[in-house]
Amino acid sequence: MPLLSVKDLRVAYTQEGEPVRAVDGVSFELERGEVLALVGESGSGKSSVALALTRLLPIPPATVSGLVRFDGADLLSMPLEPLRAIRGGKIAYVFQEPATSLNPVLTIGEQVEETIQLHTGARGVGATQAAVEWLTRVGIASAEERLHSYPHEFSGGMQQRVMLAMAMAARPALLIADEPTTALDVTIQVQILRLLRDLQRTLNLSMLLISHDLTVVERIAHRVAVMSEGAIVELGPVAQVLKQPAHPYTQALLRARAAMTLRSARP
Amino acid sequence: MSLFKNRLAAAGAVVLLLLAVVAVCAPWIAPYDPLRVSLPDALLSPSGAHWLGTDQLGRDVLSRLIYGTRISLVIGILSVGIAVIVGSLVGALAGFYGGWLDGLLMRFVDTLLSIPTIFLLLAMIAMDPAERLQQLETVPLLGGVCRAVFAALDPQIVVVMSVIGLMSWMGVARLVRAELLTLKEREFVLAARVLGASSRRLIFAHLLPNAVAPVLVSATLGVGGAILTESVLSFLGLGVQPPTPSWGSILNEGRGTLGIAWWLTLSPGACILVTVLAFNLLGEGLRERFARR
Amino acid sequence: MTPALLEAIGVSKTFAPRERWGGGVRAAVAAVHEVTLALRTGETIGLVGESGCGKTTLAKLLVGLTAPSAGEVLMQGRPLRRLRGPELLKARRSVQMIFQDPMNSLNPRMTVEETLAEPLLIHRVAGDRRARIQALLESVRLSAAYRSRLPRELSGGERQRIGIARALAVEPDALLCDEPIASLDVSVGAQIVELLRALARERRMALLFISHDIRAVASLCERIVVMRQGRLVEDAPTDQLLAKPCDPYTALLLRSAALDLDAVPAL
Repeated sequence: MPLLSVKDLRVAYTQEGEPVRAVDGVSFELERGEVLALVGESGSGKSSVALALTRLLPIPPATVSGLVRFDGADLLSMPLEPLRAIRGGKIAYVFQEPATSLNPVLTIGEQVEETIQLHTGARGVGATQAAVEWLTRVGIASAEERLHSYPHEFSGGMQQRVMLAMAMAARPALLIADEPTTALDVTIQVQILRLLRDLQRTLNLSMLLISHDLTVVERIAHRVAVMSEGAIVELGPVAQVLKQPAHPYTQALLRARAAMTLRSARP
Repeated sequence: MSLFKNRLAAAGAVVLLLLAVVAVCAPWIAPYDPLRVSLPDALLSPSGAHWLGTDQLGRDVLSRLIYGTRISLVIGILSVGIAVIVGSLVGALAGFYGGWLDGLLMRFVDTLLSIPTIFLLLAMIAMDPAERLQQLETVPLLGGVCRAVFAALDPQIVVVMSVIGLMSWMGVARLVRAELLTLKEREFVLAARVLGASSRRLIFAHLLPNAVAPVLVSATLGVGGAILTESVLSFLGLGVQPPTPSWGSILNEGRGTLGIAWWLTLSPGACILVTVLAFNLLGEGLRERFARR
Repeated sequence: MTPALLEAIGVSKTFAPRERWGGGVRAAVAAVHEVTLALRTGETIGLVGESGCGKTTLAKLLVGLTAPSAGEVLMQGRPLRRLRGPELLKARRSVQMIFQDPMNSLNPRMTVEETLAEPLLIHRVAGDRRARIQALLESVRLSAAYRSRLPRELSGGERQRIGIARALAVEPDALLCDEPIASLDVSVGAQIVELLRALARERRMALLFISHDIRAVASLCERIVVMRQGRLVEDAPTDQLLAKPCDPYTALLLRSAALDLDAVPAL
């Protein structure tokens, strides 16, 4: 049975009196240990899909319908308490802007430990130890000292590593990463992507990766779903879709990428 | 209009529109001459003949209120107009040029703001500016302007208006300065500078028009405040002089008779309340609308 | 040799030390350090660097939006800081700029027509204004229907085109592009790059294209300059730089841009 099964997901809201269909009947499945990429331009609905899965969208004004089955449970109709346990626990999120995802008045240690306490039940010294372990694992040197640092003392790349540590410390089965490296400098981007790939491989993590960058998709994902105007227009293994795109929109994306490839870069 | 999504703001706007109509059509709406004295009819309670009763001199309260609408609205709007114009200019200069000019202007603003308004108002009015203004009419150029203005408006009203305006421009100046400081760095302003736009063009074509939003909100709220201040002044006997009816002066005249002639206090009070509330609701509605953009 | 269109000679920009609220002093920051760069007629130069390297400050120095702390900026051989009034206005006709954020690069209260008319007004360009605006819209592949639109009715790509049209109105010899596609979707950005390439060719216009994305720069420019922490670390023709970068930082940028994950050292 797939870890995540989404059937006919629809998200709609009204904007200035007009109904807007942000997500228009999206269906896909995600197996354990698989990375599925959602690719599309801004406005294609990919971020809405990610948020809708655990009902993170504010329900009025949005309306969500469809079926979302995670590990056998129906997320869209689940009562709030168990859903909260899943959010950040079995399903973890990493977003684009680490600076706004972190609380500026709490230390890094406090924030990572909070997640650990909430989702693993560890307390006190045990939580601190786990925090140090995870921060080290995501590549933050001298993690023990850095527990006492505040978010603004970290660079963007390091903040994103902290976000990953917080996400992973709960030992999620599914990681939803929404444009995790878009806001980062290119030299940092490649480091974070490497980290993501390594984590995914060693922990057999399932990932829903949202991106507008086809090259990122190529490096990390197994399958890719191309979205346009709220619907999935193409879905398949990465190598196949990128080599033989069926839908004109996918072809347009590939052409745009080709126009800007380094001429002597490795394929 | 999307403004009317906010029902209360729409209600406010409607009320203000009605008041404007009343003010303009006063001569046709008022049942009696507001200045007509009729001592035998003094202090009549509300009746069919006098819907809101009469005052100590037998003047019809409703008619006086209707004419009073003119005064209150004119003072409210024009004084805010003065505040906005002066405040915008000062704020724009301070925000745009920065440096020592900014420092100088803002310290001046801070100084004025630290003086209690009421005392300043009282001091200014005690100097009997109406007299002095009328003396201005003899001055060559300025005199012509003064004469034209005083033909339309009672000098005392001009005084009250200017005084209130000159006491409220500081808040506008700060607002405009703050807006300009952020707007200055926006890319469309940089683009205009790279194109070679002059400072004048930058301020008037790009910066001020985009700084309008908070000023507009502040101005609508300010009109309510100005009307209240006018009422206070008239209540203290320093605003509009008798027999001219303004809501504040009617309140003032009703002071001694609260026990026996409640309508003299309640009616102008209610007018002030409704008008200020309407302006406040409109201001809130505008604030919401601008915040959404 | 005719003087370069735009030249920076040993230009530095230092921001003065500042006291911080709550104690502490912000050290003097040298945003740009002794940069020498020349842009000649018909050249296309790409300026690459990560965030905070000083490229935007350098751009502002080059168009005179800010004055250098040391060194000189020359426009057609004449020092920019000596130019005043009508001479400065005339100099401005030769170098124009387009900006990164399409949301902020147009005055939200001016229609497209008013925005495009402004440079014509400022420089008192004679002739039929309507016809000129029409021609400008055509040159950026937009129809006449756009004249009466307001910025909020335009997409990011359309706004960027208007920004380009505005810059072209004075028929500049050189165009500085400060990260013009960073805020746009990939396919839209590719179109803008295409447009710039065509315009540079048609009008024999020099381009200085600033970006953090070396892929975009490489596809458009014949020469690439790499900036790091306020300094220029490499300056070479594109093909040469891509094949054999001299500076290790350049090599790092190239590997990162290709998203070569395996080149990243494992933790």
